[in-house]
Amino acid sequence: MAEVRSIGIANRGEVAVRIIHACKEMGVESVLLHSEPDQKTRAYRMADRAVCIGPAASAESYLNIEANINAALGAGVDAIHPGFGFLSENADFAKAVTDSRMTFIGPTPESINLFGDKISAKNLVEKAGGPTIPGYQGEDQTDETLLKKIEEIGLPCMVKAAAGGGGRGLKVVTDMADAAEAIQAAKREGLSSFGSDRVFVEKYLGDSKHIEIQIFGDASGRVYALGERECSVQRRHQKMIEEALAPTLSQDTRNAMYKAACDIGKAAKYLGAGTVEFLYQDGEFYFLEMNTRLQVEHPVTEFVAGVDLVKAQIKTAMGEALNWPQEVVFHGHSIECRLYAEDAYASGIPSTGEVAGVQFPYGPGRRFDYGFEAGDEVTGFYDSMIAKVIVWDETRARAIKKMRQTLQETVVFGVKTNIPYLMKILEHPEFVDGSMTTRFIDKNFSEGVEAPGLSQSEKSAVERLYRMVGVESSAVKSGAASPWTHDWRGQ
Amino acid sequence: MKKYIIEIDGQSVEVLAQKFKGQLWYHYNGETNCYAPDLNYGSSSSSSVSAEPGVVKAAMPGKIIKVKCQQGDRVSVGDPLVIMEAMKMEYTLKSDLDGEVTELNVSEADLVTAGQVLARVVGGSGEEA
Repeated sequence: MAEVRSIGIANRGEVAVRIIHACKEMGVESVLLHSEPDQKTRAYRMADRAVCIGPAASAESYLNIEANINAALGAGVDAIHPGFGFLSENADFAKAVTDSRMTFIGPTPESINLFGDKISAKNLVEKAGGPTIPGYQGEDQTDETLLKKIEEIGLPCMVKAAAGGGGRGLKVVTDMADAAEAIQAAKREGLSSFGSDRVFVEKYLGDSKHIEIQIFGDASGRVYALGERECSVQRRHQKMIEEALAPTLSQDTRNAMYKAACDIGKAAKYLGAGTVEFLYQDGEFYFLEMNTRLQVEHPVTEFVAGVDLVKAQIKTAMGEALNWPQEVVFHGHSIECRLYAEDAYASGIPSTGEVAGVQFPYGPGRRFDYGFEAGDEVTGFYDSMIAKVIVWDETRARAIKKMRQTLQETVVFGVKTNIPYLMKILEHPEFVDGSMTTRFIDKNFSEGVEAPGLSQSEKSAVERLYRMVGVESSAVKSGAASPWTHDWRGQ
Repeated sequence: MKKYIIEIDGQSVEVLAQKFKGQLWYHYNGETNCYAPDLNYGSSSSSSVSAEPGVVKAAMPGKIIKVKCQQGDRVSVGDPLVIMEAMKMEYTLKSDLDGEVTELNVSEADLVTAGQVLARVVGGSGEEA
């Protein structure tokens, strides 16, 4: 049994806050391994201790294995939680942690490598009897063979870099005339971004749903399926809204997916939290990839399955078995919206700067995972996600209503957010009836959303308010306890 | 942020508001917006707008459409200095001081980045100088 009394957090923002919460509840010390500018974040203030690992640029801090290991050893932590993104799916980092006699909170380096390579992952899934997208992932990488395979599979199809991810090294072929060039491009991108020019070919599913199964392998070797999440609302492969469970799946499909995901986990002797991603189209589901880490959208699973995935990860690192029922029972419906610091009305350009103030309207079934408060700095160095708003209610329809109400009451001043965009999505008929696919955003929101106009009387009210707030702020400070300031009667 | 009561069309409404770096951030009727007098309503200003009097900065990346002043010009509050295009809209950047244009860093068709100083106006009347 590994003793875990102190955990180094090799991450930042809201996920670092999430891990710190779990540490505090378990009586474990939290040590934040952070970059220089991230002293101005909530996680820095909440962690028991903090160690600076380098400057702002990720390559020199959050992606720097040596800096993280040295800081963790210097701080004397027993284990490292990598969060998600950054080094969370880096087998070299997991190995470096273990080699330094600390516990890596996540799967083994072998598991990370196995699933990180899309070809070896696909081979494993096929061996475990799981459904994969029809395609070719053989060793023969000559253009001649690949072109022949593309013809056999039929258009449209995709050429993907074996080591790729996040849309990089992925080319869609719709015309045989472009196929040779697509192969070359996927190889080039694979080599430059991921250091490998191996590619594979898959049938292109044009209009599918993204459905993923949360699995968890505990210290006793049991593998649990903790239900699915639907994450079809994506913009350029970036998820925006996720929910659990998926709104339109039949119970039979659901059970078949849980079984397939568990079989994959068992075949890999998987340890810890993992997510098996599937594409679902025309009643069939196909393995897409396996993520060997905690997911951003884990809270929706926590709500409907009644589990705490981060504490489960830490328990697993401690060698404790989880005594969850083998058949997890799900309750109600949960939705997560990702808050990005961006200008919703200006095609989503990032909005950086100091946060002037935040208001998260707590209430029954509302959860806010956030990393920034008044005075904190949202910089352009990292992902623009500043918070997640998660709700739970008895039914999906009620959860949607609750999310809309919650977002209307959520306030962020100083940087702009995508809340107006999320509000439009939440009222779109395809979202409301649950039929959306991964093409939903392209199809319905390619133009973004338009800024609402103000009436003449609203404009003049804003102008009056502008003068009032400046003039009266000192009066309020020195004045009565009431936070209310009254406008003079309208002109 | 604080709560304010303002009157719109004879109705008292509750608004959460805060002045921050020269901009007014307000939350009203379930939506957050910000406003600064030298820019249009809604989303199109950014937090990098200068609160320094006389310093004319680009609030967002864009292109200079027209330069309405020259270095050394005497200008008054409200005089247009530079017209820029960003996000498919035109913005007229006006002087917030009476004074002299001491610095002009752009010419027509220049591409500018958010926060870039386009011009500077130093306050004071000619007589005093």
